[in-house]
Amino acid sequence: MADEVLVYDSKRDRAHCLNKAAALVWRHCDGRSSVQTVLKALAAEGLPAERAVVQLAISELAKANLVEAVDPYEQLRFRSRRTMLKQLGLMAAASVALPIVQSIVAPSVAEAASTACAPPGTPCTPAGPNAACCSNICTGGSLTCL
Amino acid sequence: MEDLDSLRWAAGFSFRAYGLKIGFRVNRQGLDSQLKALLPPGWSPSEARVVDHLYSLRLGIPAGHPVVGQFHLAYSGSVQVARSLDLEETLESLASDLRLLVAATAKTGVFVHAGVVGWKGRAILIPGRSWSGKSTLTEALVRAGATYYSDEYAILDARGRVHPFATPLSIRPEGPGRARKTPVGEIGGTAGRRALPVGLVISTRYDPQARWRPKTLTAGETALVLLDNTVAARRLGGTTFGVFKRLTSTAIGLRGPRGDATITADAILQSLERQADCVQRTPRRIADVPSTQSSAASRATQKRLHHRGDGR
Repeated sequence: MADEVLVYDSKRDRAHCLNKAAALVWRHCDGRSSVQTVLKALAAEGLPAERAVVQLAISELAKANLVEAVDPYEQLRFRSRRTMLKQLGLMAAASVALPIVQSIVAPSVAEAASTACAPPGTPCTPAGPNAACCSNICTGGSLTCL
Repeated sequence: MEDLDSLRWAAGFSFRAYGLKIGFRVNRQGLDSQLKALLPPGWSPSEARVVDHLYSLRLGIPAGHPVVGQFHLAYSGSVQVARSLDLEETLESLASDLRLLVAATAKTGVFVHAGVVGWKGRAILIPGRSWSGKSTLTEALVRAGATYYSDEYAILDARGRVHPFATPLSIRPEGPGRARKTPVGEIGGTAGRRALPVGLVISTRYDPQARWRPKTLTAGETALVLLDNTVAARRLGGTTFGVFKRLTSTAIGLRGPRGDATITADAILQSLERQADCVQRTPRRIADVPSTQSSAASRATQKRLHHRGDGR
């Protein structure tokens, strides 16, 4: 993708989408690049070039099992995205420039296949016994399958 | 399988579909046309005596016969996929298993669980799991004038184009009851025949309280939506990304809950039309268009369709 990187982890059957900042940091996770090198690369791309941004990226990448932390102490200091935004003084709109890793578990054939009955949480009518629901029960204020 | 092999079979045939060779055998003659009606779109006859997969159908003894054993039985390989007194139900279970087998093991094409329609030379994909409301939205789009491609699978080729898989629509009744297979002609639509580039990928779920105000997805997010509904996702893994990359070079991804299917369908078609206009005029602003256009279209049709029921 133009500004993104897709990664498929065949060991865990997970797929990840790295935005521009996360992808840039990930490409530099080669065991040789220093934080300074990464900061320069971020700045060259017009992305927030802060040490905290690199930390956030590595935290996100580590959560997705895309990097291994060399220094466990460093990993303990990773903060949440919200904390990081506050620390960087960024508005929500600017947060899109921060590293984001979105992940999904690749579905099994059965999960991606058609099912004959509606799983829990599917809107249904009428209330009460309902053969369309796998549970056979349609209930709740907003009428969903149990 | 050996147990099945030892039984007497009266007829059989083989066919090719999506790079697979599949065989059928049945214990009674004269069912060829009924069985061939179950085959996936795009099949072609084959003379192969050795197949990748074999289906077996044992028709039960008609009701009223003094001999016990009236169930119709269908097997996919050695696995029983149907056991019923109702032949239609048995054949539907067999057809459903056959479509899933093809989707999961096809040697050509990536099968994404999705509704698909064509509109002015572009395809609209609605990937989603069963019961997410995609069939209803597909039906609404066809009723609004779109060309029907599929309400079950989007078949993507290496160039990221979508091919028709126009099986009859599966229309579920408002209340409890089995879905009814409805030929597209019955709802006033026509089926597409040629491959189309994709214009929109819509990730949505029916919510009676919602209004269609989608968020535009990035190309990577759109690819994740597609992979999340790819039948052979685990077998194909990252090899699908090349297809998705080409697909997203012409398509925009939209995500959000939707309310009434008819209102949403009108909004979607209008947004695709505006998108096409924008591509001709200002290609770089294309990503800004869909959400605003669809909201406007939704407002425009809200009054007109106010009393159309739940519209799922």
